[in-house]
Parts: sequence; structure tokens; C-alpha cells
Amino acid sequence: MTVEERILELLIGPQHPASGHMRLVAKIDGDIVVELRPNIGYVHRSVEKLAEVKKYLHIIPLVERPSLADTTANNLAYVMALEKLLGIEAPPRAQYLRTLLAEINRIHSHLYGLGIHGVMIGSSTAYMWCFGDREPFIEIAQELTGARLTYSYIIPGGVRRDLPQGFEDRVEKVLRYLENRMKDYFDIYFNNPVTRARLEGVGVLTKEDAIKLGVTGPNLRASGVPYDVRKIEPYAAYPELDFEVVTREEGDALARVFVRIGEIQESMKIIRQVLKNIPEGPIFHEKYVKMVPPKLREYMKETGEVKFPGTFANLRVPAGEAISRVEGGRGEVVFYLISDGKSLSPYRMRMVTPSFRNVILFEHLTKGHRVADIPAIYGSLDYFPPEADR
Amino acid sequence: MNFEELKAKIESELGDLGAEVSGREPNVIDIKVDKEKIVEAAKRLKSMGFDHVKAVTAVDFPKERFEVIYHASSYSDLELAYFIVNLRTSLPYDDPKMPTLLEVWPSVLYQEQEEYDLMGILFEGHPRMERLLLPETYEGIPPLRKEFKVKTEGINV
Repeated sequence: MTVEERILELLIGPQHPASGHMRLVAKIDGDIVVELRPNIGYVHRSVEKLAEVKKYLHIIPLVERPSLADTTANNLAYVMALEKLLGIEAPPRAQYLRTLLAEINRIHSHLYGLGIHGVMIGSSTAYMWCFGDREPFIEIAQELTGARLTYSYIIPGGVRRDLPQGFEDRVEKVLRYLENRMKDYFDIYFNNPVTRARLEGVGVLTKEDAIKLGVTGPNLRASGVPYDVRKIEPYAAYPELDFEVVTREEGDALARVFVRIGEIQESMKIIRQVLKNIPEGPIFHEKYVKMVPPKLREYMKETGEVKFPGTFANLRVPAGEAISRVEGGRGEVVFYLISDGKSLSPYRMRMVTPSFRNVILFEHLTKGHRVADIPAIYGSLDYFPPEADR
Repeated sequence: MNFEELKAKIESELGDLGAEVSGREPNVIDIKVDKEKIVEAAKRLKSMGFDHVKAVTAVDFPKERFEVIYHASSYSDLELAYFIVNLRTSLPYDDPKMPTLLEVWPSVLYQEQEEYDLMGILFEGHPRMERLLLPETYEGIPPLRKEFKVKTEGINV
């Protein structure tokens, strides 16, 4: 038999439990992958086109939807681009609250990714534990914002709600819980010989390739590139906070897992600092507060809930362009907005999510590996099809 | 390196290509070049340290032109990473074609394919000028163009 005759085309998905909402087209020789092409677009929802017919404020919930589990990054990046066009900046307390939610979100997004990765390589315990331990973080995020995942918490000029009473204590309890719990994770999953055998040395991404392919997030940092937007172009309250950029040199699937664990620990550090150092003051830009009727302003003071000024319904944005980037859980989110200054919607909105930038890794990393390694590599990328398709 | 220094450096590097360099403080630099010169401009930017592309955006100005923008930055030089360079070019409206930058920046592989798929820009030399997000059977106006109208329904439908 010649090589050509031996090679089979294997379709994984889109209805396969471990493929996500996408199809992987693999060419295999025996059980060695010769070539693998991701076939994406099954959950495309044309966010960029819809943004051109929706008003500026209506786009906030729209951009969150694709990246379920990592919504704050999109919310924040979009609002940052919008604020650049409007020429306003949120007050310091709002910046701290944005950081707080972003870090809570990062923790539960990483737990989500680790859990899915666990079940992909056959550890249903890791899956159940990660999803269970995600719950307390979703609960505290809900207490802060009123929603479990689609927060729409960050608005131009500030945030929607102030800290609830006694929030610090409940957050501290949740953080302590996860810290203690981490030891169990290492005992039963991360240091498990089976996990190690499935992940160590699998799907190695070299530093040069990571840079060349423009990958982002923990996948980039696991290959030894210390690029983190929170340090490179600090936004929100990050300039005033002390944290490390977690990197690893190995670039394999295990390194990507360990970067995520390291980031969970750094995020807990950040949350504690935020709650300790958060300044007093308004959570909404005073220009907008002034536009709210006096009675509602009173209500805002009493409850800490922001009421939108009437101008938000038909928000007019000066003509211009703005680009913003935010380090989300899965990586860097880039928003590019063009406003023509006349219409109530953006002229063009470009939204590039981390998963869309990482999709190139499927074909790059799987070559030469066994078919059984495909899910081990897939899961380690924390790839989320709806986020890539947008 | 500060904003003015970098801007001056790019101006001197790309000056002979007829590039127009402008910028928005504190960290965005716009470079406009003709599409014939864009590959060479990208090569020079890459040798300066701009090693990857974050996004490729195509913008439609109906009956006038298309604009394609490459948002490039650096991973290997963390000082440059603070800056974002927008490499732009204009394409005629009835024939939106330009050479691919895949040879220079492999990170544009999916981005250029997406702009072909949704905006109908043809990147010459790109090996995958085929559908990415839309169904393979899709025919008609590329949906991101302004002439493609989104049908909206009233709340009582």
C-alpha cells in the first residue's frame, strides 16, 4: 500500500461530543494525524453586522453573548473603545469595580476551561469539581451584578451597581474555600500520573511559533512570552495593583494548564487587593449623573444602583476611530470602532476574540500526534467555538 | 521608546514607499500605503519588531472604496508591544483585490479568510480564498457590505 492509499479522512463533529460546535477534518495514517483542519462557523451569529443596526448601548449585551463564561472581557473592551470615542473616563471606584468583576470572571472562566479539558481526557472528577467550584464565584458575581454570566455590568462612564453590604466577607470566604480546595485538585488531578502522561510533552508550541502565529492568552504565556495586556497597556485599576504575569517555558498542554492555575492564584491576590484598597466615591461619571432627574439621583445614592440618563437611549458618539484591548480569561480581546458621528450605531465594529486568534493552533499542534491526543490538545487551548465564530 | 520617536522611525523606514504616517496619542500609529507597496511595508515593519497581527479589518465605503487595516503589534519586544500599528490601504470599490500578507505575517491566515468570506475582499496568493464562517453554499452579497440590509422585525411579529 502506498502512503496515499493508507491515509483516511476522519470527520470529528460537528455532532460529536468532544468536538464542540465545530468540525475537525483530520487526515490520518493509522492513528497518527497527518493533517487537521478546523471547520468553523457553525455558531456564527454575525455580531459585527448586527452592531451596525443596533444602538451603542444595545451592543453591550450583544458582544457578551458569544463568549459565555468570559463575558466581562468583551464588555470591558467594547466600553473602553466607546469611552475613548466619547472622551470620558470612569471614576476611580468604578475602575476598581471593573477590575474586581474581571478577576472574578477570570477565575470562573479558567475553572470552566480546566473542567472541560478534564472531561475531554476522561477525568469526570475534574469536570464535576471545576464546575462545582465555579459556582461560588458565579454566586458572588451575581450578588454584585444581578446576573450569573451575562453581566452587562460595565457601562460608558462607570458600572451599574456599587458593592453590596458585607460583600468583602463573603468574597473572602469563597477565596479561602478555593485555596484549600486547590490542594485536592493537585492530589487527584494535576499530579495524577494519568493526567501527566496525557499532557506532558503533548502539543508543544515553541516560543518562535507562538509569536509567529499570533496566538494569545495563557496559550502564549505557556510558551514563555510574558505578554499580558494588564501589564503592557494597563487599564482599569491594574496600574495600581501588584501581581505577576504567570509564564512557563515548556509550551506543552500541561504548561497551559499550569499557567491557568497560576493565574487563578494571581487573580485571588488581585481581588483581595481591590477589596482592601477600593477608594470611596462615585461609580458613574458626574457628567451623566447630572443628567439623571433629581428624584432618581436620590434613589441612586440610597441603593447604589445606577439609573441611566435619558441620553443613553440615543447615545451620540463623535466621529472617529478607537481601538482597545483587554486581557480576558482566554486571552486578548481587541475591539476596533469607527463612528461616523451621524448615525446612532457604529459605522464599523471589529471584534476579535482570543479563540478566533487561537484557532490556527489546531492545525499547527496536532500534526504528528495520535488521534487520542486531539482532545488533550483541544482542551488545553481553552478554545470556545461560539467565541471564535462570533 | 516614546510615541514621537517611533513615529519618526517608521517615517524614515517607510518614507520611500510613499507612506503617510499619522497617529493618535498615546500609542496608535496609522500608516497609509498603496496596495502595490503594502507587502514591502509589512516586511519592513516586521523587521522593526512588529511580529504579529491582532486583527484585519475591512471597511466598506459604498461606491467609493474599501479600506483594509492590519492592526499589528509585537510580542518579542515588550517595549514595542505597547504600540499598535494600523497598516492601511485603499482598494477600488468595483475590484477589491490586494496581495496577501500571509508570507510576512502567518497570523493573518484566518483573519484574511474571514474578510474574504464576509466582505468579499480578494487576497491574491492566499491559499484559502473560500468560505469560513458562512455556509459553503452561500451566494450573494457578502453580508458585511453596506448594501446587504439586515431585515428587522417589529416587536409584534
